Amino acid sequence: MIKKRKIALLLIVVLFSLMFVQSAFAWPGIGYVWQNPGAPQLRFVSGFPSDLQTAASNAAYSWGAYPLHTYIWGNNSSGNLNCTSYYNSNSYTSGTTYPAITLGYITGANIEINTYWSNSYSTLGKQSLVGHEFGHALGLSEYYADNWGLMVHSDATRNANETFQPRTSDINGINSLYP
Amino acid sequence: MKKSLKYTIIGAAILSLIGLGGFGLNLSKPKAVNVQASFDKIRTIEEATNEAENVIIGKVIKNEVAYNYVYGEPYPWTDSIVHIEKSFKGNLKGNIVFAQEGGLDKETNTMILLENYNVLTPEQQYVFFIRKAYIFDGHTEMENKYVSVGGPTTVYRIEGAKAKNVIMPELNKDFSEIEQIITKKIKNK
Repeated sequence: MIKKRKIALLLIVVLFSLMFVQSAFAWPGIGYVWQNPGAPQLRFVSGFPSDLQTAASNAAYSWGAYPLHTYIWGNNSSGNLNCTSYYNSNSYTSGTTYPAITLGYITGANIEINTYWSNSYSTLGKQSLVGHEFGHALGLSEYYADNWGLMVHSDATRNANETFQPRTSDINGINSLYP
Repeated sequence: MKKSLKYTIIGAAILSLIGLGGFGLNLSKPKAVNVQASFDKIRTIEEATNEAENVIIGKVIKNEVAYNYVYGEPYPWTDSIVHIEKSFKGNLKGNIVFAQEGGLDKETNTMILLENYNVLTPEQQYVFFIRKAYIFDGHTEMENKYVSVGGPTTVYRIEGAKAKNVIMPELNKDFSEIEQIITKKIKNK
C-alpha cells in the first residue's frame, strides 16, 4: 500500500515538473555547451563574402591558438557553424549567433554578419567580430566585467582596445565551460 | 486504508491533469529563442542624443504583428505604435511607428529575442533616441518608420525614478540624470 502511494506521489511530481520543462528549454545561448567539444566546424554558406571567409578562418585559428578543450574546425560543406551575411543599414547589430540546441546541448549555430557594418572594418576588425560570434557559438555570453575581452558587446570597444583574438577572460570562460 | 488509496489516486489524477494542462499551454506558447548579438558600438546618452534626429519620451500604444527577415537577418522585426509624450529633440508629435528587432516568427511559432530584448511593452513609457528608417533596395517595409540609433542598446524603460536600459543593466541610470544629460547636450550644440 505504501509503495502504491509512493508511486502515486512520484507520478504527481513527474507530471508537475513537466509543466516547467518548456520554460527550462526556452532560453538557449547562455550556459549551453557542445556535448562533443571537437564538433564545431565552419560552413561558409554560398554568398558569404571572401573577406569574411578569411576573417572566419583566422578567427577560428585564434580560438585554436590556446590549449582549450574545444576548437573550431575549418570550412567544410558539412560543417555545423553556418556562416552567412546580410546587409541592413537600419540595424545596429553587426553580427548575431542563433544557436541550435538539441537535448540541452549546442549542436550548431547560424552566424550572420551584417555587412553594412563589417564592410567598414579593418581585416582585424572583421576577425574580431566573427571571433566574437564564434565565442557565442562555443557557449559564451557577453562579459560585462572585462572591457578588454573578445566577448564585449561593442565592436568599437574591441577595435579601440585592439582585441582581435581571445584574451584571458575569454579563455577562462571557455575553460569553465569545458573543464 | 483502501479509501485513502482511492483518494490518493484521484488526487494524483486531478493534479496530473492540471500538470498536463499546464504543459499543453506551454507547448502552445511560442518558444523563446535568444539570439546573441554584437553591436557596432555602445552609445553613451550624449552620443545617442547627438546621433538621433529625435529624442523623445514615448508611451507604447500597441505592438503590431511582426514581419519576417526582410533583409535576410536572423530575426524578425516588430512595429510598435508609440505616442509621443515629450520631445527633447526634433518636433515629432502624435503617434509614430517604431520598428524594433526581434519578435514572433509565425512560421515556427518562435519568439526571437535579440540579447534577451523583449519587444516593447504596451502602456509602458520609454526614452527613445531615434531616426527615420532608411529605405533601400526597393524594400518599402520601413517607409515612414523610426528606428533606434544603437538598436536596443539606446532604449530606456522608465520605471518610477529609474531609466532602465532594455538590454544592458550596467547602463541603467536615474531618469533625472538622463534628462539632464540630454538637455545639456542639446543646449550645448
